Amino acid sequence: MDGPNSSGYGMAVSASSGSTLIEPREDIREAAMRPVFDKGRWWKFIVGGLSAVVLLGIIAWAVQLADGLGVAGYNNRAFWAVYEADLVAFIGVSYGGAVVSAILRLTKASWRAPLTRIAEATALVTLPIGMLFIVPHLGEPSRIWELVWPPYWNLSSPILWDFIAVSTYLLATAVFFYLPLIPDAKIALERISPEDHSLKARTLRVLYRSVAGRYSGSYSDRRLLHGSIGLVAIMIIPMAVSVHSVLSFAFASSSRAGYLETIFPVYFVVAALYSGVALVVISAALLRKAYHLERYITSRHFVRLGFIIAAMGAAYLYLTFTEYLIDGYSSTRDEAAWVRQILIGRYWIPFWFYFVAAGVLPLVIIATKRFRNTKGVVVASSFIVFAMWIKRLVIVIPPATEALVKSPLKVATTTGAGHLATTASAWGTYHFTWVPISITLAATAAIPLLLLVLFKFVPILPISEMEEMAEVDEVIEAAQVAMERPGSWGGRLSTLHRGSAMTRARVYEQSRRQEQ
Amino acid sequence: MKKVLVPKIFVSVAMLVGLSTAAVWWLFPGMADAATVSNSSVAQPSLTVQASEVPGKAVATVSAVLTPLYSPTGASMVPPGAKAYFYVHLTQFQSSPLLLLGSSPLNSGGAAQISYQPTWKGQQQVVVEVENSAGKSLYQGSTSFVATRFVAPFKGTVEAIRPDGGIGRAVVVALLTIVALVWIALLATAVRVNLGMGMNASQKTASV
Amino acid sequence: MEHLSLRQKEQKEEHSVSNGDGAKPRDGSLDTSQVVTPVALPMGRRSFLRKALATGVGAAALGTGLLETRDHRQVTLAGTKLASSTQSATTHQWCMVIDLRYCDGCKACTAACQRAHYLHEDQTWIRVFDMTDASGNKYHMPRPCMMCEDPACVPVCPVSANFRTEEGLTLVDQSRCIGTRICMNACPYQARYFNWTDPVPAPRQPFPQEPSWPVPQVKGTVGKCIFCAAMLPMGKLPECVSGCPMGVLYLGDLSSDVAVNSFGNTIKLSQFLYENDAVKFKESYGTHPRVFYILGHGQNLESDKEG
Repeated sequence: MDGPNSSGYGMAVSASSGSTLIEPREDIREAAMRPVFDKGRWWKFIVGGLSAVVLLGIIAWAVQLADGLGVAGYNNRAFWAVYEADLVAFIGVSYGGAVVSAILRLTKASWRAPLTRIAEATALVTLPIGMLFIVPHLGEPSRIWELVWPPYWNLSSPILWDFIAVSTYLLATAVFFYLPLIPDAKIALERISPEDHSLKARTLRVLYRSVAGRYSGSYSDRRLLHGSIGLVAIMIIPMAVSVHSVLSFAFASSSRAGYLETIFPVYFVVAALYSGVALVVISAALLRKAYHLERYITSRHFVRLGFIIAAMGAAYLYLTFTEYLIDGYSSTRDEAAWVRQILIGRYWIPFWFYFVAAGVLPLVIIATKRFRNTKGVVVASSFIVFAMWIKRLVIVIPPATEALVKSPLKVATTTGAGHLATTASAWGTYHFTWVPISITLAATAAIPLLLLVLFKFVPILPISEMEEMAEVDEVIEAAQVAMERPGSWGGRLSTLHRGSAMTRARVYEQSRRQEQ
Repeated sequence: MKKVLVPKIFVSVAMLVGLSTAAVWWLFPGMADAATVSNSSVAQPSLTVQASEVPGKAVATVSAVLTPLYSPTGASMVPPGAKAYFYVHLTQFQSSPLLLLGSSPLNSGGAAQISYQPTWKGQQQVVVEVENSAGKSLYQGSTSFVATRFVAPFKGTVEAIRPDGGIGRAVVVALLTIVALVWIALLATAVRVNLGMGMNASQKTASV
Repeated sequence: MEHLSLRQKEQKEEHSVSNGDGAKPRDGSLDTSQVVTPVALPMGRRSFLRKALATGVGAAALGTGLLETRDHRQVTLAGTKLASSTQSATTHQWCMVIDLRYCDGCKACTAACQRAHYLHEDQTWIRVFDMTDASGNKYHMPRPCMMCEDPACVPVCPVSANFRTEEGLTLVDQSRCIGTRICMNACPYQARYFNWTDPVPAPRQPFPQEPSWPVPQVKGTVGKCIFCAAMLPMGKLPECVSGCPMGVLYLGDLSSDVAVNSFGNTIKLSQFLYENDAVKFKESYGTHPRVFYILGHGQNLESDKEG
């Protein structure tokens, strides 16, 4: 049965979306395109508000450009602090796309389907924001071009490796976003009424045509597409692991206690996966609410993501515990001092906040049946994203502020007058000022801002993928009924892989042939 | 009678003085010498310094000799307990400070010699100073020579001693190659999908 | 070897200079007949060198130029080779000897350095740490840049802004530094300082603004002790060395095995270090620093506490 073929655009199109292979689902298509055609005024208000926050951040950065990094609270002891933590945090939260889209795809978890577009979009949006943090981090951002100028390159530098790795990952994320968009762009193209000649419609048509290209929905096209997406999914996983490992090398390349940790690469990757999935949960929850996608993104999705979060959270807690236990047990004076400062010293508040909010709480929420629902998981995720940012600060700041010429373990000494006097050797301090806070808030605001803007152009659900999944469900149902009939091909279903698109296509063809 | 007596007394007194002076002169030659040194034209001893490189070795010898060694009276000019200190001007620093190379007492011949190992090639300006036992500086002399050999107790730049120091460039090349391949694969995938699509648009799919 | 009192040395110098052939003229100018010509001239050569390097490497971009690792970032001057283990005596290998027995913590070295380079107060390129040893006695430890032979700061800079000259000086190219501060992270001695705000304005300097004389500083870049590199080719002592009223700091030349302090005391370096049990600070970090410390009172730099 053909779905409503609303386009009437030429032969090439009619052979595709009303494809003989996959049935179009009007409900999915309408829901996916809802944000594009939505005319709610709330969008303008929210985008306006977020833009104001972003603008504040830009102003703060301009102030920093004029006055130097000193206005951001930095000093010779706290030479690395909030911007470096932001770099790690924001690049880290982009890993949700890798997990939800790539890993779940390769493990054939078909329930992920409605989330992939949102996950990939979150990754695509947060990664450039994370990369942009290098600009406030640098003392001389006007010379940032030197990073892309090979004659100046120092190939031993971890920062250069970072730059190469993150750029590659950005390309991979972009390609991974683009490829599943191709069939969806074709579908979206048809959803634009041909009589619509507004600027928006014209822009969308141009956009969809350029993305969709000559995609026809035929078997060979699908095979090509699915093969490519599978290939990129396979590539993106080791890339994700290596990118955050390389990011950790920037810290681990020094000899400072607290930075020179062999666990850092694993630590950073797990942290990224953890906070990334949490961010995907938050974006999915917010977008679902805004565009009423409850039918497609159900509590089942959130609970399953919650399980993933719990697994990652437990892993991260384990790594944290390992690091501090080993360093605190039989360590040099440097490491002992550092562990002490984090657990019971100057930095105990942010560390234990992490422990409660992103260590224990999410596990408790997921473990308790009562809280294991959409709301619980979203609450846990909100805590996770914030607490993991705090944890990144705990990772970055204490080793930087450590005195390398030995200092007494106590922070301050009392003078004769009874005042606490900090000696020059005390743990250096980093003080937050409005500048880095504004810039961090701006970056945080930029994520929903860019997502909202992006989904004005891009279907929020992966239409093609979801239709294929729905098809498979029906086929399997039909096949299960058919299994009762003798001589049916039901036996072959035992090897049916739900998630494989090629198998789905084959099964579908075969079932059609059988029925004829 | 008085007119004859005064000249007679004068002459005798003069003869007495003259004779006694001559006697003293003859009897006590040292006094005469001292008197001569203080206002005579006998030369002051000076220090003659010679320095040269030992051929074929990174060693230089510096010798200093007091000349003249003896006074006209035959007394030795070498003060008792005299010691010669040998220095070289440091050329590395603008103030050209002196570096003590060694010291040696003056022998009875009024000579002292040391050998040392120059630590740089080129001009070596050597200065010698003679001090008496009380440390008072008496004579100085200097000379310079060119050293063609030198010793270098310290070696130059240290090679990085890291466990993976030997891997170096090969690892870098390998990793960058992998990165390049990844970039090519990603871009090629995107391009391939783009170009490969719609090839069967005009035909119905064979399977259905 | 006889010990020479300071006054004696001064007197000897007075006497010796006034006669003899090849004597150094007293007006302070350099008698070029006797001064060895240093091969490394940081001033003026550096910018030429940078251009040559950039052009050469740019031309060979796809070849080895693209793949230069940090080992090749060490400056090659006018086609001469990298510093090798057989030093020609016409090059210097600068080092410092710090005699902690005489340091009284007056911080005149810090003041002299900051004055000469127009630095902010927090930019203690040479910093005097007030330490307490295991018996509770106080001593003072000046810490300049260690001019490490295997510096930790050089391999980590992404734009190769740190480099080591043939004479063993590690310098910062503030016209290239982008301010990532990873070198501050890497230095085990905490010897690097960043320009967090506008630098102190400086009047016209006797040397051009180059890595060997980064005055005035550039906002948003890293600065550190340079052993007053622009003054060394002229044989002038660094500001801290000449500014020390106690004669604690010696500037040494490893290749000529000599060192001198602000009093004009000269020492035969290898012998002095051996006789006085000189140590290096944090030698276990493997950076091979070129600053030697004479302890003399049983201090342990690695485990003594500051304050």
